[in-house]
Amino acid sequence: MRNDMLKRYLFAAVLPMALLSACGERNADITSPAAADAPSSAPETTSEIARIRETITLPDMPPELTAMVADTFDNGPDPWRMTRQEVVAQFAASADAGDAGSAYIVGRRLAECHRILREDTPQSVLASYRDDLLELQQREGTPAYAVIRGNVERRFAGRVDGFADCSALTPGLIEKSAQWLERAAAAGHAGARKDYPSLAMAEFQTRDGIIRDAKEAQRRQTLARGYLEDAVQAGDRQALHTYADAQHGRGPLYPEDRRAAQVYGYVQQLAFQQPRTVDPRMAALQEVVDRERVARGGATRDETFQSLLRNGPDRYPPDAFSDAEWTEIAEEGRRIFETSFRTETPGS
Amino acid sequence: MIRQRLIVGASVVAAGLLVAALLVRNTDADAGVVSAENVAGSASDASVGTNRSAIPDGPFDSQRVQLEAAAANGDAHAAFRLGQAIAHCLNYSPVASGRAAQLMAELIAQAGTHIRIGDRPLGDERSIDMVLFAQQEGERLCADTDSLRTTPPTLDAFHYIAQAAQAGHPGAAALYPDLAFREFRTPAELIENADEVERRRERARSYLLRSVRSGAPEALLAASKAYSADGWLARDPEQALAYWLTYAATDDFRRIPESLANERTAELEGMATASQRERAAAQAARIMGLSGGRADAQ
Repeated sequence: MRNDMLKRYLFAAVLPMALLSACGERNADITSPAAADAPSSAPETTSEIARIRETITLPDMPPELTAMVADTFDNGPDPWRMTRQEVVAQFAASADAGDAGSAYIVGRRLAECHRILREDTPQSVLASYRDDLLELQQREGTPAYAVIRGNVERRFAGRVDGFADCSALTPGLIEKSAQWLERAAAAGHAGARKDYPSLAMAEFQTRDGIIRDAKEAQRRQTLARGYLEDAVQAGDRQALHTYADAQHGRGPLYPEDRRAAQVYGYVQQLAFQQPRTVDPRMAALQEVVDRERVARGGATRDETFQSLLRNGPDRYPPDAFSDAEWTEIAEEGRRIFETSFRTETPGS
Repeated sequence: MIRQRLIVGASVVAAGLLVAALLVRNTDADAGVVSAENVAGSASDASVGTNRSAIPDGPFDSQRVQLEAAAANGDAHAAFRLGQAIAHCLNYSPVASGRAAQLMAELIAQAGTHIRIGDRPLGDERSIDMVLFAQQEGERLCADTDSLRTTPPTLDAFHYIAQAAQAGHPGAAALYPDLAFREFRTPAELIENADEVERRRERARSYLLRSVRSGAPEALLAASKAYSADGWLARDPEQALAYWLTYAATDDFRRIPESLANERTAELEGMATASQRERAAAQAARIMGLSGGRADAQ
């Protein structure tokens, strides 16, 4: 009851914030590379963030990973770790000239800025960092303390750096990211097709974002659905996750479809729990995990999967569908799983 | 349990009404609604001058029947008053201001650092200012509206606001974008109805810009919001700041608690580049200069 009350309170309180703190969000077209003419956040927040950020040193990549990355990119720099300005300098021209790989890299890196600029504002990053530190205090003296502290600091640094990186881009570039992704996807680039449904819709995550350009949202939605449904059909688990989640109707991709949400949520569980042949070292780890689960009165991974396959999804909320409908949902889920997501034949 | 309900009730109402309050023009201390005549008096746009109402502003409940009849006969200000009251007060449940402050204090004492409004704790000065301000605005705007809860209206708020906005009523123009898209409840519904959404957005834009020319404070505030980063028009930090600075020179602006107003100014300035800030200030000065210290045509 108490939680419910707090949630409702927060929900209510967010409304006026939308008006008074609208500019907590920063977006693509407000950015400028010229330091003398750059937007600036509330000075006290910015200096506080800079002070904390200075105290955090991120560890270098392990040498073997560095070597692997260098090998992957023909000894060139890793485009996923370059700054976005460097990415633009290096890949935008070839992307414009029609190179699908370059278009994917620059499109994806810049499209990520929609979310980063919306969610990782200085105010918001500082607030969650303080929350994390409060929680961390309770872990002081435990073995996990150092690890958790490292995670908190890494997360803070990552968000701060990402926001600064996206803010440093010239106006209009972030809006262009969807075009680059679209070109790469049209040219058949697998990564671009996979990322298009979430990244090309990133600027339509708010109602006002859709109202601003509803027809463009509609055009991209059609494309995004096409790529997503193809990928689900082809057995892509990331696409399955996006598709199942989208059936709840909270985002811009699909209206709410409670039946489809149950069916694909079930397929997702089956795909995740199914037995698979793994690296022998991982198999050993799975055994340990299974022993732990059983010791705690739970079931092994395989038992969980078999029971899920046999009994269908958890019927929650139970009165959402009739018995017959729940049975149909389970059957349809099993059929999709067997057709597109079963990685190994049973009994092999 | 009862206390929890009261807290929720008070905060829901207060929060909803803050939005309302900031979009509604404050006239005389106890009038509580837009006076179209006042706005028309300062307007450079002749069409706004057609909003004279046959019914002088007074207690809503006792005028409701008259207002409904007048609105049906094309009285824009009557339609606005009805639309505004339905939009903000249909689910209003009054909580005495002293009681609201006490409840909030108790909530802060219990969980002040764990509850956040946006990015700030409930115990923050600005959060307190906001909730208490919203409470006051609720009392002001929804006084004498009990009849709405006992006899719910047959027509919705959008019906009346669309009518009044089309007739050039500045308060309605400012409220129009808040109501015009409500019927499309989910993101997917907005997209599915893209043609209609764009039609309404363009209508909203033209109503708003016409009202800005009339110098109506609520239109200036709504325009600033529309052009800001999360607004429904193409983002324009310079326009967002210019309209905000112009609004800051109006009497309405003084109703907003200083802590919140300062923060909003800093945020909008932070969104703009140095040259955009300069141009916005110049534009605001020009607008105010044109109207002799009062917002007017740009």
